[in-house]
This record gives sequence, structure tokens and C-alpha cells, in this order.
Amino acid sequence: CCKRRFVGGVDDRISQLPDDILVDILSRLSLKEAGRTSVLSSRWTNLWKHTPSLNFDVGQTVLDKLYGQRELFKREKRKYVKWVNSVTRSHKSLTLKEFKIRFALDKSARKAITRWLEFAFSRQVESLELDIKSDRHTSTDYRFPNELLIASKLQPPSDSVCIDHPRMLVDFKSLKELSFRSVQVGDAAIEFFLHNCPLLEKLIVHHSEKISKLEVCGSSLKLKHLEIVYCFGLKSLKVSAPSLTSLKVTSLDGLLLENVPMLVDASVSCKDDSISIEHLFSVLSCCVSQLQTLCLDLTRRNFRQEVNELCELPKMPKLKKLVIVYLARGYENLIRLASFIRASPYLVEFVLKFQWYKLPRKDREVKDVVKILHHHLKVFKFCGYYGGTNDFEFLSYILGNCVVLEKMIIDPYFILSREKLQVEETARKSAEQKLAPEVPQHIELVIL
Amino acid sequence: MAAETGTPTTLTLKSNDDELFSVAESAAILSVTIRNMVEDGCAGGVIPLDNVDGKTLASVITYMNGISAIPADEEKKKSYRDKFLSDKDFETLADMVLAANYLNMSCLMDAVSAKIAQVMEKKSVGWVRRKFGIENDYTPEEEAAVKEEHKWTFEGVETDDDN
Repeated sequence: CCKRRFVGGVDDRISQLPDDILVDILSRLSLKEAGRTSVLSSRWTNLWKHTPSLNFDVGQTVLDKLYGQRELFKREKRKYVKWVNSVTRSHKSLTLKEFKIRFALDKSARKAITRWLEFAFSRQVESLELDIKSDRHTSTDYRFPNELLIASKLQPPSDSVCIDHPRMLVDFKSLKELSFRSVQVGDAAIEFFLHNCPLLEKLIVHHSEKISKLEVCGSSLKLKHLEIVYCFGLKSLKVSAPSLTSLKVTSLDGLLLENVPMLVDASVSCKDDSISIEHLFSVLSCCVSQLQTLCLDLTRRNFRQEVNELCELPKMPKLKKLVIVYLARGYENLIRLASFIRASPYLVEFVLKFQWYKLPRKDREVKDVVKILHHHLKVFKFCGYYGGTNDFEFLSYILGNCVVLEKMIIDPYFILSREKLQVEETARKSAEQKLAPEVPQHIELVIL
Repeated sequence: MAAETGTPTTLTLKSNDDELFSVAESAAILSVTIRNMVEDGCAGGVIPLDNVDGKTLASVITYMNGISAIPADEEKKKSYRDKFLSDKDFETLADMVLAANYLNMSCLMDAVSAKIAQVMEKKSVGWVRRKFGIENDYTPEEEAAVKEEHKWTFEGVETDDDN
């Protein structure tokens, strides 16, 4: 891939390595680092252009820095678009393993984004990720161009592509992973991908208002991982996928699970007060007995009306890891969550992410906890610990009943940034002074 | 394959400088090139490996024996690989990656490539040139043009060496 070869000195072993090995080495560097090797010598000018992975992720810190800075953001956005344009124009690899865009972009960059998609599909991309969350309203979001899909169907066979017609041939057959975040992509496009990408294993859609009635169904689907998250227009989601192992949804409205015999990892949240825990488990009824990992986001739940309900959880005999995200409003009693532990006799790891904004919890007496021994729980992590009665009661339950507990992790993480440091320091002190003496020697206590 | 008799089959490999090495078949077939020869029944006598010298082959065989003695535990295998490569200089790594490529041993190839990439990570152009003895054959005009074309590769980048 270069005009002059082996021009380096005899000691220049690295430049004498064959192209494919050097490209393999470069593909382990970031795109910028790989590109920078072009300056080393003429041997290296074009090597990086053959790496199979194009990752244009600028990273969260860069995006955070631009947040709210209009002028700076505009400048950086122009630069980003230019960067991707210039790389995609000069890149030479005929196939791509990965193509990832991550920047705050909206429909003002429509033409460029569509061109990038065409580019990626024409290089038979295996993993495509478009993550372009901007802080503007969803009406300005980039819309996925359905024409791209129609065009691919009408394309002539590859050998008859005319040279004077430079439109790229779009190919979806190699696609294994597809991820759209803050892209307005609709049901039809997603179903097109599901049925035209025989290798598709991972499908992620976040923040698309155009997802409404989606069917992820097919006996030949290879799909293993599905995320339909924060799609607020979602009315119904039917999932029937024999290979599916992991599912993440944020709406239970109209969720219908069928034929998911491999599903072991579920993450669900009740973003709606009208949906009860009972309803949640009825939706999961076809897979609850096979789940190994369950993440429940209950931050929007209103537990006041469900005092008795938690006692009647279905048994989860395979569950190994449970994560509960829980938002405090002041009146709740954490001990209620212990019924999740009782429902999962083989649970090994339990993470409780307890979120709260202010401390309305009155310091009431710690009640004696029920004695129902648990013989498998080894790790308990408590995020959002403050040392109130509520916290203590729950930790007493864990210490008193989980007879093989090995490790307890206390993370005083506080949700608000304003008083963050102060609150977390108080919580840490409380954990060291009040909690530590209660924890038996053989249990490792970690205070973060 | 003689696994049933209890005595493991041994293969004889010959390097391009005519050194002979004995290695258990179960370890040697980590190399797809050798495995194909075994499967095609061409492994009866001595297997000539024309692209690997004795010094490198000895090292590769050490790796084959070491890694195949570890049961299916990816973490342990990885830490063995890290340790195995930790004291190798670049000359040896270059020989190793060529041998791994020829022998079609993806796990060794991956590990060596990653190790070489690691050396280049977060380093300036000048540092990489010096480290690997890369001779800059660009004219000043050419170098300026390549730099201009790849301006984006220098933006927002901090290198942890002096130049």
C-alpha cells in the first residue's frame, strides 16, 4: 500500500514487517494514534487507512466540556464533522469491523451522517454505533433515512455498478451489532434490519420517539442482546427471539415476551406509577424462573400502596445477581426489599442503589428483623448509604440472615452534586463508626 | 492420535537453520499450520518450518508448552502470556510476531501485536522513530504535507514523553 518499501535502515525492523502485521498492530491503537503513524516515514503513510475499526468516540469528558458552551460547541461540531468526513474519504479498508460515531449532533449534520452510514454499510460493517445525543429537543434529532434501506433493495448486482454513478452499494449482511442512540429511527427500519441481517446479535435503540409498535420476532433470529430504552412513544413491544440472552427495557407498556428460552439477563424499569410490581412480574412470567441476573429500576415506584405486595414475589431459583435502583421519598421502609432476597434462594450478589435527595427519614427505632436464613449471598453492595435507621435496619437484616456473606461494600454516593462531598463524608464517618463494629471479622467491609 | 494409549504423541519440528525440536502434539496444534499438517497426515516424520529460526522456534515452543498446560481459564492464560512476553526485546517480539503469523497462532499473534502497540501508545512521532530506529525518509515538504493531511491526529493528544 505504499510506493517505497524497506527504505528504512537495516535496524528498522518494525518497518520491515509485512503490511498485514503492521495493520494488525495499528488496529490496536486509537484512531488518532494510528493515524499519527503516517508521519513516521513513507512506509507508514497509508498503513493506518487499512485498519478495520473506525472509532470516532470523543469520550464523555469532551462532551461534558462542551455542554452549554454554544460557540465552542459549534466550532467543535464543525471540526468533528470535518474529521469524520476526511477519514471516511481517505480510508481504504474494504471491510469494517467497527464504525462508531459519538458526538452531540442533530439534523443540521444530516447529510454528513447519512453519508457516514452509507460509507459504513458499503464497507460491510459488522458493528455500527451512532450515538449522537444533543441537548436540544428531540424534534431536531437526526432521522434515520429509510431511503437507505429502499436503495439497498433496488441496487443492481455489484458487478453492474456504473463507475459514473458513485452511489455506494449498501450491504447489511455482515451486520452483527447495531446501536442507535438519539437517532429517530422507526419500527419499519428496525424490523428491516432484524429480517435482513442474518448475523445480527445485538440491537440497541435509545431515545427514539418513532419506535411505537415494534415486533422483534422470528424463529431464525440470532439476536442475543436487545435494548429498547427511553423510547417514549412505545406502545407495544413483542419479543419472540429464541437466542435472546439479555434484554433491557424501560417501559413495560405493551411488553409481550414469548419464546425467549435463553433469556437469563433482564433489566427493566417501571417508569410509570400505574404499573405494579405484580404486573412487572406477570410480564416477566415466562422467563422469571430462568433469570440469572435481574436489574430493577424502581425509582418511579410508589411503594405506599404496595405494603403487602412484596411478600408475594415469585420464586427466582436461578437468580445469581440482583440490582435494585430505588428512590427514597422519606416514608419508605427499605426492609421491604428483603423479600427479593427471600424470593431468590441462590442469590450470590445483591446491589442496592439507593437514591435520595434530602433526609426526611426520622430516626425511628430499628425494628427487630425477621430471621429467614439465606445460604448463598456472598456480596452485598449498598450505594447511597447514609447511616439512617432505614439503612441500618436493612444492613442488620443482611448481617443477621446471610450466613455466608463474605463482602459488604458501602458506597456513600450522593445523587446531588451541590452537597455531595459533605454528605458523602458524613456517611463515610457513620459507616466507620457505627457500622464497622457491627460487621463480624470474617466479612470484608469496604467503604468507598 | 495416540491419546488412548496413554503416551502422548510427539512431533519433531525443524527450524530453517536445521535445529530439531520435540514437542507434544497436543501443544503443537495450537499452530493451525501444524494442525493442518497433522490432520492431512503429513506429520509423520520431521515437520520443516522454513520461515522460523531455531532461537525463535525454541521460544515459541516454550510458549506452546506453557499455555497448553493451563486449563481453560482465559485470565490465567492472559497472565501467562503477559509474563512470557514481559522480558522480550523488540527484536525478539518482531521475530515472534512473524513466526506466529506463519504458524497461524492467533493467540500469540494477538498478544505480541498488542504488546508492540502498547509501546507506541501515547508517544510522539519523534519518540517512536527513535525507539524503533525508523528512518524518516520524507523531505521536509513531504512531511509537512502528510502532517497537514493528518492534522486531526495531533489534536487533543497528549504524549507522555518529552518530544
